[in-house]
Amino acid sequence: MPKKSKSYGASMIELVVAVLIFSIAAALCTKIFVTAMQISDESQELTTAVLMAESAAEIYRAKGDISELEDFCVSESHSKALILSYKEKKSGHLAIQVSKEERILFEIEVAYGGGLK
Amino acid sequence: MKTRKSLGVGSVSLILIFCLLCLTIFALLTLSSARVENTMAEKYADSIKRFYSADTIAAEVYSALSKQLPKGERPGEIDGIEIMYEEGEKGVNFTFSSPLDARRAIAVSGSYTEDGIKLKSWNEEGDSVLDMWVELEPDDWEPFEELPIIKD
Repeated sequence: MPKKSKSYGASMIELVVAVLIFSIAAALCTKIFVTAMQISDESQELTTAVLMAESAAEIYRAKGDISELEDFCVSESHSKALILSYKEKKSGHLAIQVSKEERILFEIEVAYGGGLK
Repeated sequence: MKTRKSLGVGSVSLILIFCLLCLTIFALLTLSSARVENTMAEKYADSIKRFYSADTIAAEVYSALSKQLPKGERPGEIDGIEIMYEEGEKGVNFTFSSPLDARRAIAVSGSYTEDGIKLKSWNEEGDSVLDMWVELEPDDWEPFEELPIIKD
């Protein structure tokens, strides 16, 4: 009988140690998963920002009309929580910027090309 | 009884080690996948930025040329972009390219005649060639063959 209780005690200690190690490792792995998710979200935001800026740039490049961009900004910013802003730097040149919570994600400068062709 | 005890102790540890290995491998795979995705997104953003930067420079050069050529001037370089000229039948042909990166550039060609300045092509040239805009002469146009859409 004493032999039996000693064996149960040993297995209990092993189990506790194993669960402890597993918990620590699982916590570390969870942190890695969260980091990966944040990186993935950032990538998605950047890609969306680039696509928004590219679409706006193509509209300006083809038509040179800023009024159409205003509708575009409102519809996109509602769904993605990204804000597209633009500023005419000089005649025929537009600076386009996509930001989120005052953090600039992407910016480009585009020239009106419609007059060329 | 002896066999049952040894099985219980070992199997729990083995299962936990296996779960831990799986968890670690999947976590590292997820992280590496996210990093690769992020690198791709940054490369895409960089290529788009380079493209519009080169396109803007090309537009500025073309705009400057359209002002200077009617005055009889033939600038060899505008904004660091070299411009090549060639005498044509009706006027002068010009070409220049605005670099995107080490391997790609936006190539622009046009002509200046009595009728004014005319753009012939505005293309991306390099390893991955993409025809953005090319003027076709009427003789170059080849219509599609008839398509049998409705069969009697």
